[in-house]
Amino acid sequence: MREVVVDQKKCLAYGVCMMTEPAVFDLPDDDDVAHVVRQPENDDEWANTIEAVVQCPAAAIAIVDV
Amino acid sequence: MTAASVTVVGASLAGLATAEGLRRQGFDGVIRVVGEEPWLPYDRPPLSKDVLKTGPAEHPPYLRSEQAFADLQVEWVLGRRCIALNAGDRTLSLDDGSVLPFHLLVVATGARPRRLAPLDGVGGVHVLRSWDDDVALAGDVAHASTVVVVGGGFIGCEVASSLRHRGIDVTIVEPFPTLLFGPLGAEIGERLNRMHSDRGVQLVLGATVSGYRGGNRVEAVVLEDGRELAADVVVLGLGAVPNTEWLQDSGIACDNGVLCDATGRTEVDGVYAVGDVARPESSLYGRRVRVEHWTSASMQGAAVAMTLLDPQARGELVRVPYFWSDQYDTRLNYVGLHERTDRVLVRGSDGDAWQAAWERDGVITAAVASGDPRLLPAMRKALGQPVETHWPIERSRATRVS
Ligand SMILES: Cc1cc2nc3c(=O)[nH]c(=O)nc-3n(C[C@H](O)[C@H](O)[C@H](O)COP(=O)(O)OP(=O)(O)OC[C@H]3O[C@@H](n4cnc5c(N)ncnc54)[C@H](O)[C@@H]3O)c2cc1C
Ligand code: SF4
Repeated sequence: MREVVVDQKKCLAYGVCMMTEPAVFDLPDDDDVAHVVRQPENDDEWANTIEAVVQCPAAAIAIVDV
Repeated sequence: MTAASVTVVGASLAGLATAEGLRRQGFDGVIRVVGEEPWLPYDRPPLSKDVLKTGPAEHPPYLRSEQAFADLQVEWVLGRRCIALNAGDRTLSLDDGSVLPFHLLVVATGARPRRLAPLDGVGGVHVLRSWDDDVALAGDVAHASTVVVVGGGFIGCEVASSLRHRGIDVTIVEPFPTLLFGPLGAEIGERLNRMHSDRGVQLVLGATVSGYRGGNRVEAVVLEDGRELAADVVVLGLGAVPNTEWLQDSGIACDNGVLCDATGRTEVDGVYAVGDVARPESSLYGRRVRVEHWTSASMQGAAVAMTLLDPQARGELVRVPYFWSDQYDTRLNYVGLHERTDRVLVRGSDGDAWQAAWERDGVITAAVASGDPRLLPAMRKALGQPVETHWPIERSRATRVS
């Protein structure tokens, strides 16, 4: 199983991830870093999530094996 | 088709993204990356921002950890410039006289700063693109009290903001009536004018630099109308030109970038181009677009990696463009692509928090917001939508299903 995670120590709140896949990423009002609100649920969401990994200017998103 | 080897020219963001994309898809052949700079790929945006505020560290802000670079298994050929691509025998000529054969090739040579002929080679005059540029500039401004920035584009504005942070007197000379006039237009430019003058930046607008006073080292820049502006250091922020000269006799057509199809394919079989140097076709925009943004370079590298391994994949290089810019404590986020003739709509206070969008035929073509990255998803969604229903842009919440 793979899982997407945001390294909140690296995140610089560019917001690219939540723009790329809003179902998975969010920048909550009460925090300065992005959160994974839920795991991708279909191929489309996975494709967008991988795109977010590539696009994150802080290289803060990773897909890990769990 | 399975490639035996992929060679990349240009060891920066787009080149790294290409190599990473290949490995992510399981390519286990040879990846060779040739780069003119002596460094492993590093991040350029911090050069005009944090690095300039604090003064440089010992090495550039690398894009990956030592371990991640090692895991990539790339054969780096650094400190070597390609001077020619010989399509006939499929080789590259390097500046040390060596010749490298290639199978598949990706051109990722980026862009370099435009210079100003009358100030060429004068001491104290800087451009900012590379780590070496940054080290030289930071060393020079350490003893400067007055800096003139020529050009009020993104690099010029960010440099001004970082130097103000260090308490240095900064003047920006800009030929247009506002900062960022070219990329964002007058209405938004006026807000930027205010932002910078509120922070003590001197703006000299509608003026061009024609020369300098001083001997080997600049003492003042001279404007076309004869005015002189004292300067210990001058920073040129005049935009960038794509590094295509080395392809001159290669048979690859270049015109403000390497001309390529939507997937990055050039006229020479098996040779592709990505990043700042590429000017691909775009079905999204119905024309060629050369984008000089961080996320574009990164995405284009990932896209071409797919095409290299499966030419049928037809992954387009050009996606909806996005960029950010940090000035003082404010981040600008821009998404989309507008034409200068699009009508701009602006909303928000006079301060540093505002948003704007462009529309053509009643449809939103691009949006920019200052100070609020949380607007981005809604901005992205508003593109291509009617102004009546999508302007002003309101925060959209992610649908939480947990
Ligand atoms: C100071 C600065 C601040 C920036 N800030 C932002 C920002 O805030 N947001 C944003 O979206 N974008 C920003 N950018 C733009 C972003 O950094 C670029 O879009 C990105 O670096 C492009 O990557 P690239 O790999 O295509 O080209 P480049 O990064 O230009 O790399 C090209 C590499 O190829 C090498 N090369 C060139 N010719 C040859 C040759 N003949 N042989 C071998 N090697 C060669 C060069 O030395 C260079 O290392 C900024 C750029 C700069 C310079
Ligand atoms: S794109 Fe990266 S840096 Fe930006 S908010 Fe998402 S995780 Fe953070």
